[in-house]
Amino acid sequence: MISVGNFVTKCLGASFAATKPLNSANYHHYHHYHHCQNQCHQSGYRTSYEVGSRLFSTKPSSTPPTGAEESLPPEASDFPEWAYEPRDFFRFEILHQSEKSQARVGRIHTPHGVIDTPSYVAVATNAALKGVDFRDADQTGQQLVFSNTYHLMLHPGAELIRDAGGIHKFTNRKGPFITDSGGFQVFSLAYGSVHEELSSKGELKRASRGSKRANSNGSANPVKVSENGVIFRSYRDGSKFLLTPESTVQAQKDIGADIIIPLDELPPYHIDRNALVESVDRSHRWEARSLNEHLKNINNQAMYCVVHGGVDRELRTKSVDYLTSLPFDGYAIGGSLGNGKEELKELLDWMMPQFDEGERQGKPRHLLGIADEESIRNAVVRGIDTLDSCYPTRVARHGSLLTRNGSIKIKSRKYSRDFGVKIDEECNCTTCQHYDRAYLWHLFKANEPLFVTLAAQHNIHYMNDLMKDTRQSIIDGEI
Amino acid sequence: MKRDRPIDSEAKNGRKLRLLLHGIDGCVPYMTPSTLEKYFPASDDNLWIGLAVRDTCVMPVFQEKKKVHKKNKNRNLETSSSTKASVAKKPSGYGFLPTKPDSWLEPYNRITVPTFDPIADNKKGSYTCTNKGVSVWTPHGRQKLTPGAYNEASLALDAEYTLSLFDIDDEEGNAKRQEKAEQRNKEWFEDLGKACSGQTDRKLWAPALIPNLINNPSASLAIAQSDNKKASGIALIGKWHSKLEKLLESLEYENVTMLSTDSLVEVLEIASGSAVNMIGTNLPQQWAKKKHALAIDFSFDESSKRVKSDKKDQLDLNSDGCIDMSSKVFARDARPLVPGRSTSLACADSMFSRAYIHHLVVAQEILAEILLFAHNLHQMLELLKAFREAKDPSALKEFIMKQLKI
Repeated sequence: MISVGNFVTKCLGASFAATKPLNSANYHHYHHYHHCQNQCHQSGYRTSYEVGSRLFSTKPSSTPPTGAEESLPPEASDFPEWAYEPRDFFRFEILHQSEKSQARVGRIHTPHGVIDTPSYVAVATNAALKGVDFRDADQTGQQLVFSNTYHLMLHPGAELIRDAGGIHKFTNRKGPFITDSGGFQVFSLAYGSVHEELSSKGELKRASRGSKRANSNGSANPVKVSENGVIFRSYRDGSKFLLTPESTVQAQKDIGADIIIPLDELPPYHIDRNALVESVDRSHRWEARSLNEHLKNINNQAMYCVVHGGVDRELRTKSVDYLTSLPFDGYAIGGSLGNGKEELKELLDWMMPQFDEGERQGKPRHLLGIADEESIRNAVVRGIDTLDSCYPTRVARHGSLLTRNGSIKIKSRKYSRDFGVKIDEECNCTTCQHYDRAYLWHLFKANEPLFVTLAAQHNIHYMNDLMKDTRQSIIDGEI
Repeated sequence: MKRDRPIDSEAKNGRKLRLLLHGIDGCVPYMTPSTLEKYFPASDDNLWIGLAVRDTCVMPVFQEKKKVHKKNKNRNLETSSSTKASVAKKPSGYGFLPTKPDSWLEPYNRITVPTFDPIADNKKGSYTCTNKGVSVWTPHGRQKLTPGAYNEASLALDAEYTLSLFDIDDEEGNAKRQEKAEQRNKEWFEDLGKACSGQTDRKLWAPALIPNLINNPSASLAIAQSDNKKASGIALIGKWHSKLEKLLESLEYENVTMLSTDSLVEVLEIASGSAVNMIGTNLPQQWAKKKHALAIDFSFDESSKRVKSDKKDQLDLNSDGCIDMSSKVFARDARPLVPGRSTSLACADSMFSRAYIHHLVVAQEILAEILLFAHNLHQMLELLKAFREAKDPSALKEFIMKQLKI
């Protein structure tokens, strides 16, 4: 049984009943750093004396909280001072700042190794890359790997990974990992994939808003959202799961990645503004709760916040201002990132300069779920340090190979006679060293599993080469 | 052919027993060049790679077509500059064309064969024979493989050993049909001999159909004595039979190979004898596809180091000596696939736990098959090594058979 709201937060002069006893190490911090409405006025939030006890009760609310109660996340000063101190196990150093753009070359130091930035983060959904052993991927230059908490919770279970000694021992990979909160996958159950949501113009979301009617697929609502968290059903066996800001942190603690992410709500692109405001505010409250849970036992893990607000400038700015005031170790750009690459570029154009203000500049920035080449170029020049995407490994399975002259679809017959022609003439990966396009065509047509391995290895190598070249270009003053 | 190493590898007691891995589609399944070189290096003479022309050399055939522009239709084509010869975009068909092997396979001991399992194919109706050649089933449909095309394609694969094209009759075929098959096999062996008559370093194998061998050994083995090129080895085609052990004892061929085996029991029967010195199989890949890991204990010799097993270690092995990694019993098992002994990709240096492999299986990750294949191949090689070094191979066979669920 996952406990709900099992920690205490303070807000606005309200006194709290500890819903669950805090450990002695931090209990006094919460009482000591209790502040009242003046602080909240300055951050733009309304005050309420009623928030604390009702918002963070142990029992799931039978009725949703009212608007006034929902609007108030904790203030920066509500977090203990020690939380703002630099971590000895995690730091980001900027080696070179471009004079032509916001691009920078840096290094993220984690307990399991260094990440040179800007960097591509490969996605190992189930703690495994598709068809590629981690050691082969590491040889291509892969440093940070992204795993999905949602899938790992459903199988094998976060506790099992904990009992195995953590994800590094479980997978036998020594390099750094990052895990997400599971929010993206959970909300995808309601809205579909990003592409589906954009193309359906939000049809699917109506089914997730508590409508009693089944959705367009004829099935019951897959996701139920409340202030406490999200209830969803496992696609494996249909069992119910409750994902709360606290439980996702616990799961990520069990998994043991080097970088973890708090629970956030992922609204769709097609959403009215009032709903978006509500969603952003809820995400802030959830992320603060996750942060609090994380601070109880840091466990040598860094936590990135997730900035939201869709394509709304005001909301994005509010999100940046609030979340960067909290003791997160890095910043992830999440939520809906626009309808297409141009809108993403525009969003980054006006949002990223905010991350260069003051101390924000010294923390790493991660762009969630985007890593096609054009977006990489647009993101890096605007100051993004890391990007993740399953695109290179996913398309590899379907026969798409990345090259410096665009991707090639190896199933085309025209490659059946490309004897001695590498996938990419400038690529030095093991696939290109040993195989030509004609043979890869043959393997693909014969449905040989080896093709998936070779294609994925090449694509990952290509992405790492791309980022290496990008870093060099920044240092050379070309970007 | 670029090998300078001695071909034969013998155990201290003089016993030779090697594994011929079926390289389906011209590759070692799941293994990239780097993982293959690291975990199954070419320096190991006990691992041979078999390449079948049937799936390695089938290629699209494009015909040239002359494209004449409409306005030049009535002009003299020889002088017209707008006439271009071009290769058609769509293949006119598929055929068996000379194909070079992957460069990274060259250091390995290799054998070229027409196909690996014609008996099984024959049952499916996908390997039929006439005087002109054989008709085989490929990913591009049924294709005809003539002796000429086979010889050209197989020699291009540049393996040190080549098995000639062969005919197979039904296992319960009549005498006439059997005679015809033998006749064709002899002719095709001689054809291959002629095709590589100038190449002294190329060695030929002759096919020996097991049912025919049992019924008429002298006729069956006469194939290998062609005038042009005597066979340096024979490849047994069909299902292993206990009578073969005695029959083959007196043979003086450098290599006697069982071309294909389809169960661990068959492998054990052959390995415990002394007639055959190479066992061909696709079992490591078959088991990996079923998410099975070979887990038999073959270290029964008291003088050797072995992990003491207790009830907790006793695994539920199937008839092939494998454990099913999809079973929930492994969900929390932190031990490697085969504790204490193995040094395969999946076991020692990497130490993937059973729990992790089980998770990969349930999550339908292809990495599961990769690790399981590497493990199974390693275990097969270790198994044959155990038989090579066993003082009493029959006793070893019995020890293993007791573990199987038959």
